Amino acid sequence: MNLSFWMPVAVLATSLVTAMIIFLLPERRHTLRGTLNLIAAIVKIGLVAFMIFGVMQQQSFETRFALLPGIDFVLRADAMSMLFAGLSSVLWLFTTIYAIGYLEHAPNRSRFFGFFSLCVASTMGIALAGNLFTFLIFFEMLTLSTYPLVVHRGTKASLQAGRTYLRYTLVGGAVLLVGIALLHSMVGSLDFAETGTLRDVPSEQHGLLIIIFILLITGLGVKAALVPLHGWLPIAMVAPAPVSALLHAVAVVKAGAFGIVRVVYNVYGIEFSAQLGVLIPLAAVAAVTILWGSFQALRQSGLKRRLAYSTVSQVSYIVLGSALFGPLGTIGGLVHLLHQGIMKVTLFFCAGNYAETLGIHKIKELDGAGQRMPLTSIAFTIGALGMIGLPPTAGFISKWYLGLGALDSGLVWVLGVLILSSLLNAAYFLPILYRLWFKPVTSAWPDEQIKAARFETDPWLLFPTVATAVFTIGTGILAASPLSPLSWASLIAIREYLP
Amino acid sequence: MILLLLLVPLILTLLVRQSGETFQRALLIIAPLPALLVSLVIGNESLNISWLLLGLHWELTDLRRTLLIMTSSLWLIAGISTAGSLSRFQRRARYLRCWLLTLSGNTLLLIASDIMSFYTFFALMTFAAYGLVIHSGSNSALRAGKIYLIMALIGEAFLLSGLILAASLSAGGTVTPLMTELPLLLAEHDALLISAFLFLGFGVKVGVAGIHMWLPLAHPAAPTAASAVLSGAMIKTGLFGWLTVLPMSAYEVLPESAISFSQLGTVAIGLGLLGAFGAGVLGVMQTKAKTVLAYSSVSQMGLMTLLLGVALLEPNLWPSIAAVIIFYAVHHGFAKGVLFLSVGISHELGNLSVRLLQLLSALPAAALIGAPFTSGMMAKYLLKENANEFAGWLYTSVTLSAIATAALMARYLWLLGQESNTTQQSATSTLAAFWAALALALGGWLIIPTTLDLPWSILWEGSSLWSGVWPIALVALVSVALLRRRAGSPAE
Repeated sequence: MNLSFWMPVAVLATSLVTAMIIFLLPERRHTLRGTLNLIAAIVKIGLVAFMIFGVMQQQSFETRFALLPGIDFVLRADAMSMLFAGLSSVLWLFTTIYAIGYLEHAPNRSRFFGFFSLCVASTMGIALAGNLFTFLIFFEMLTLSTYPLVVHRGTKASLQAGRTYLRYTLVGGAVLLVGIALLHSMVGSLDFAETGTLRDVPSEQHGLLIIIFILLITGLGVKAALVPLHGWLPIAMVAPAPVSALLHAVAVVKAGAFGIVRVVYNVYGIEFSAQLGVLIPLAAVAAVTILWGSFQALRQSGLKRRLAYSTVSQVSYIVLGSALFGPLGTIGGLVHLLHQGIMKVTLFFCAGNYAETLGIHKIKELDGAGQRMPLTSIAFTIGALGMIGLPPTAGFISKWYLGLGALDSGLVWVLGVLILSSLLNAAYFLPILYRLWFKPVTSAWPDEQIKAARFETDPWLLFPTVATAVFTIGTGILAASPLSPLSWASLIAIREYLP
Repeated sequence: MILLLLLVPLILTLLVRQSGETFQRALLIIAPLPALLVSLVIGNESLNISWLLLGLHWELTDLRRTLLIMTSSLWLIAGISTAGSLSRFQRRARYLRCWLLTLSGNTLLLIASDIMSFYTFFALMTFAAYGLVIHSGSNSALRAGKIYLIMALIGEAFLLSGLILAASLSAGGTVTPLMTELPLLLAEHDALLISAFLFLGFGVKVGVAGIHMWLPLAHPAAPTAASAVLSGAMIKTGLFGWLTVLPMSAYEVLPESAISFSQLGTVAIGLGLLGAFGAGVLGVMQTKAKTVLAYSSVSQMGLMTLLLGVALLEPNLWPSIAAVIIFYAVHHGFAKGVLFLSVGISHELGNLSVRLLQLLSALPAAALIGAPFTSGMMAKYLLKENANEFAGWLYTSVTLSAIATAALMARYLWLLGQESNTTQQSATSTLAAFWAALALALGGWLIIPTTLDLPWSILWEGSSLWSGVWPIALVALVSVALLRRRAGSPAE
């Protein structure tokens, strides 16, 4: 029982304990709740940063105890888990700040922030889970803690959306459970390990392994919104903006994608997956999802719905990356895990700003908003250019590595998919930018809530938006620096291939 | 480190405010100065910052410097010209931001050598220029902007695919190669398809026949000074891209590695001829002076395209062809710049004489055709030398293309008179910019070729004098005949 044991527990506890205290606090203690939330978020960033430096120096952090005979509960910090933990701890801070501003004067804040913290605790658990069982526990906990957030407004539409959300994710979870149980019956409980754990399974059982792979990916694919399992995502858009931001950038969708990454790299192993022949079908599913999501996004007239379909498309870049055999593809997929999060959270913050400040929900209402809300619009522009994949944003780095990875693994058609997807992204984002910057304001804003004063909107909303936009550019401009997501992804990629 | 000075216009973009016209004027004039000073004063220089982007590498070489001098001086002149009429602009701050961003992209891409910097600045220039194209807000400008953007995106898609494909040829795998390393990679792998992608990607900017249709719409749609930089400077970035990445320039690195890309070269020659003559035919039918000039740009770039085709076929000609393309780029940039500015002047002639304006504009127009003692004579001579080296018929074709140019210029000069409007008067700085551009077009180019090692004697050799005169004489005769018939016919 030393530091190594307690660190992962402490990271989880920062959100779990906060959640408990918040549930116990009376509704009206807004300041105390806010302060507590922010302190917890900052402490968590500190702890995660400490572990990241530890992992860089090959130090290990592991919490392990037997849950059932033969099944361990394992939390462990490895390079891959730190990738996801780093993303969620940083974005949690910004989302918390944003949510405090967004929900000012709203009812039921105690419930909201309680589940919000639980949701983050679940993502942390998913990040740190050291085997599939531990992963599953937090994966289901995530489902249950996000449901109250989706239905937070309590309207008929949101309750309906909540039901759809539960139906999809619970079935997905069940399929995942079946896959994990089958795998357990074959090989016992195996910890996640670099380069995978299954390559010594005798070849007569490979057929079964392929079936299990399909079950695992299907179960995870519901949350990762792989087509045709993505139906819940656009419906869940009724949730408040910070929840959408969290769902799309770090929590639910990303948890699914991260699970797929774990299965490919740390359960099956990339080389063994390639040997089984499951990578190319996975790439095909990802490619279909990328294009389908973009085509659907083109057809949407609501800002948040367009962003939702864009998420369907963009998250599959991560899946695509893990389906490309070769370090460059791996880097592209992993780095996009972070990049997509930063870019998407920016875009959702912006959508929330437009809605809260001016009452804008439809794309056609955005005409001339660039003059009224310049900083938000600049942030939106940066996020959108990132999604298209233009340099110097984070999105370009992802696309560059995915493209090189596609060629490296001999899948030239994947490059075509990437380029086509870029063009589609341009087709649905550039018209928005045109409205923001070049169209004149035609009439009064639909519902102006916050008047322009010193800032264009509530600083609690504006600050996180600007910060994540700066990150979107910063991760691109500083891509080659040692502390960039790209460098971290490259570090992992090297370790995932057999020497 | 001194190359970082070129980032100044990017920073100036942040300072633009709605009000303060004097400050806005100052920005227009200050912005191109760092690039101009750096290109004139600093020797060859490179900058490496390994932790920026995917490894930042910028450099200033003779080739890049030459284009940077032309580009930044054209931006300066266009800036001075705009400063005069700034008070008449709607939404000045937005226009100014687009101006500064386009300028930043245009100048910075000329020193960028790593792929990510280059692509960043190329895209910045392309997308920011959209704001210049549609500034007037008229329906035709919006339509031009839309087509501009669609074609630009198609170009970017080809360019990005080409760059990723080319980079993947690099054996290092994780290492991203420099732009300047691509020609050798392409040549060593005989990468025809990748080269074709890159040819098309930059070809959209150059206005290669078939993918040129955005150009005669977009260049004239912008305010006049912006048209001058679009047609004078920005069109050359496509040429610069070709020069930097296409495989024939492997000859300069490793002569024995340079192989002939015969299919691509033949296609380029074909498209070049089509552009040179086709744009002449379409151009003379246009009714606006600026549109005629845009077609003339397509025609001139057609000559560059065919020259590129020759180099792709015979890389051993590359060193001399590269020099011609650079010389031609500078010559065309200066000449086209002043021709566009004079359209602006003609619209607000005040008490100036339209005949004088036509006469003055005839000088750069004659240079473009290749009249004796002009930059065009030198350019055309060098161009024809290289064409002749390749095939006699190409020599003849280039010679005949002077007729197309002469016809376009005659049409342009005539339209200049038709469009002239005396109700408004140009501002002093707009006139000053015109004079400066005229001076550059007629004499400024003389400082350029010191690094290019050119045969000066041709300027006073009889044979080349004659070949510069006859196309002009021919078109002049036909024009006079046409004007007479028109005067003689009953009023329409």
